[in-house]
Amino acid sequence: MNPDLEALIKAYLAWRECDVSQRPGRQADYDALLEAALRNSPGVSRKVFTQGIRHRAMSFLKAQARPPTLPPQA
Amino acid sequence: MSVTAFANPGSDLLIAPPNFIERASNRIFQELSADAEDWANLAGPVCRYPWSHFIDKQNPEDKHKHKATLEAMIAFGELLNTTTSSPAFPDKEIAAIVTSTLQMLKDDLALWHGNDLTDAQAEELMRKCFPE
Repeated sequence: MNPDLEALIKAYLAWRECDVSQRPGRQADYDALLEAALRNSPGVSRKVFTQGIRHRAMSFLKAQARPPTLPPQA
Repeated sequence: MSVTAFANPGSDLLIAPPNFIERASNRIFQELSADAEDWANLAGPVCRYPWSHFIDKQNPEDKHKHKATLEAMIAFGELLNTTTSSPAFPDKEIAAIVTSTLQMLKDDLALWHGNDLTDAQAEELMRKCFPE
């Protein structure tokens, strides 16, 4: 995965999963990365771009939650 | 408790007893801060709900319940935000938590219940914006 995209997804998930008191700071971290990514993607609207990030975040979480395909060695 | 307004001598304005507004504001702000914190804590489980209830198995009833809960949480958050975003609201930490939590809930409403992109379109967009 592209490292910028991975950092953005991790920041997005950190914002959503952190303790309530840390939420504004985590959101600021995510927003900063999002703004930078948007500057590098001219012609893409913020709404559509954010939806893409959310989709990727879902896939990322799904992949993390997926159990290993091979059973552990006996 | 009722408060009787009285005429301010030398003026034709009516004012409340001394300190009433300050005392009442402080009481309301205190209660609102506590409710805002409870509401922000509830948002976490609401946002995690889809992962355990309908991410892989499309269950219309669970999805409908989630949407209704998100909408109710957002409506209450907007109500909280009206006051906590006021310059008069003293607890800036709670104010920031309310703003961020409200954004998170709105994000989730758009993600789970109003997404315009298909999975394939989202993948294509991300590949274009973030080449490997």
